[in-house]
Amino acid sequence: MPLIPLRGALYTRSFLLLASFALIAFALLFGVAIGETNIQLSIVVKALLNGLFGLDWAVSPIDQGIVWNYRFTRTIVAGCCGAALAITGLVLQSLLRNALADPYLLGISAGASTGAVMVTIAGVGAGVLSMSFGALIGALLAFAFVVMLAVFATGRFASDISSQVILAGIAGSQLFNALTAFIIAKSANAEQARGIMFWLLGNLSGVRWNEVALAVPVLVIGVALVLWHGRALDAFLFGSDAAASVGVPVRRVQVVLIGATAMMTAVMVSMVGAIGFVGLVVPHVARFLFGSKHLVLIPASAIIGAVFLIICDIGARTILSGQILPIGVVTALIGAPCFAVILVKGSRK
Amino acid sequence: MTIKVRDISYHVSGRPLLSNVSFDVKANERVALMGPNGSGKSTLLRQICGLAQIQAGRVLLLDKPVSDFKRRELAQTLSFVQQKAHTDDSIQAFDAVSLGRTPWLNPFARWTNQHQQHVDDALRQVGMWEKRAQGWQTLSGGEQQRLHIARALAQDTSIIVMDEPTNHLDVRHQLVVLSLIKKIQSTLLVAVHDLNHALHFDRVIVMSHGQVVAQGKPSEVLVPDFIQDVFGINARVINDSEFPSHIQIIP
Repeated sequence: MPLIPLRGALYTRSFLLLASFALIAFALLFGVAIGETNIQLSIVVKALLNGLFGLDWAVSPIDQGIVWNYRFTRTIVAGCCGAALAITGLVLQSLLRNALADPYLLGISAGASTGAVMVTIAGVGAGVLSMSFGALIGALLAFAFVVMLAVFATGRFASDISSQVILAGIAGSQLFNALTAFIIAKSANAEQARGIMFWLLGNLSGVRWNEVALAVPVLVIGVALVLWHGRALDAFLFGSDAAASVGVPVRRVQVVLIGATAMMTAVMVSMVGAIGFVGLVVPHVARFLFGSKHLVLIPASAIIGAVFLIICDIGARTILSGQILPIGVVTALIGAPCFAVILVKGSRK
Repeated sequence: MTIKVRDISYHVSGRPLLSNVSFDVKANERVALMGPNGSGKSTLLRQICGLAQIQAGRVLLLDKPVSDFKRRELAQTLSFVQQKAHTDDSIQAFDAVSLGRTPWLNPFARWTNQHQQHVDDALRQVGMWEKRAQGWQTLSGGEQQRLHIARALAQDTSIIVMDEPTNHLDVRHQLVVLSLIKKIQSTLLVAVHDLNHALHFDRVIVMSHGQVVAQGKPSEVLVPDFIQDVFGINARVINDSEFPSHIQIIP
């Protein structure tokens, strides 16, 4: 049973809605305010207002730049990634009826890494293509490979592709990881290998307004598509035959949702690398708190994921002074103990 | 005719599973579908419910081919209770039943009192009203099965198809589910395992080796010689004026 039942009066829901907006606003503010360079909170707020509303408060150009172009963009992208990964994990877990499904189940991170090393190490694209672009193409190719394998393995008459998707995803991931390892072993030096490893664990440095302009619309479209199918996702509670018998066009919903989540994951991974743990754990936290209705779970997972990743990014920038940790390390270090607590509490209920 | 099955044949890797199956189910009729394991009952039911592709032949629901239905429209016409459907999610009894309203709800449609009424009525009908807020995992197999039936009732369809709804249940719960089925006011097609359960239905259709071998009133079809032929067991029918007739299996 959910910890926070939502069947209550309207004001409970309105309160939760307001609370979540406040939570996001606070997370964004803290994400911007905390960093290696110490900037007073008042200056941070002024710089943000300058940027947001074109005001003209007196803030030194350096502080303005750090707050507006560096920290704010980074925090927004962190929030978008957190939300997108959490929703992707939620959708795949519900759709495939597998508690261990995560955004990288479909071979996307493996494909992205292959694409990235193709560009940076093997020199594909002759310096014209960016690593992000290579990663995006790699992710989409790997995803296409996995889906084709799953469809061929399922056969023409089956209405459900879920179990084949999981197996095809494993095969695809192994293949593309092996390709990555092959390219690194063949031609990378130690420095390049270390760089790739860091990128794979997640890296938000270098994120600017261009990335925001990509991450925000992709997240909005993805969330809209997933929300539209929220009721259909509820119907998968007892498996895909049960969903079909209450009127859900199973195959179409699977195609649309897997496609939408793959798009979100591929875009996020190509910008910031394969940040782990968020997509696996946040949906479980959301279910623990709010129960199993997807029209609630989807926004809840998005908000929890966004806030969690913003907090982890603050940690990544500040835990070691003078050095930025890969954010994937922080998500697991903070997330694993939190998850353990939930597991234990959940089993005691 | 509410359900019309015509010349249904089905092959799996060259092996025939169903051959030329034809029968009708009239409006508000309660029909039991019987047959030994592997006689093709489940495969046939899945085709009637639009869950499996029809290879040859036709299935008509209310005179319309099942393949012409949109998925949602089909779910407004026919509901299906599977043999056993389980979930690991922590949901309440109520949640399982409310899924039955899915075909009547648009993606963002509000959950109105009317929907709530359907769900409440269904919960009362299966005798699970008192346990509506209980967690799914804490319910017995019989209670879970009653909730699946309630889900089908909440779906508010004119046809209900069930695949061995009393399977996995102990004797008492089998009888609870059976008396529940007797009260349902819809066209019913139910795959049944127990010979005695079949006696509760208006008509029985018996399948063997993918073919319909007999149909008619249960007391007329299920006679000792026929049972010996199809199921390979010795049985006798006990007719007692005090109790309903009973088929006894003789070792």
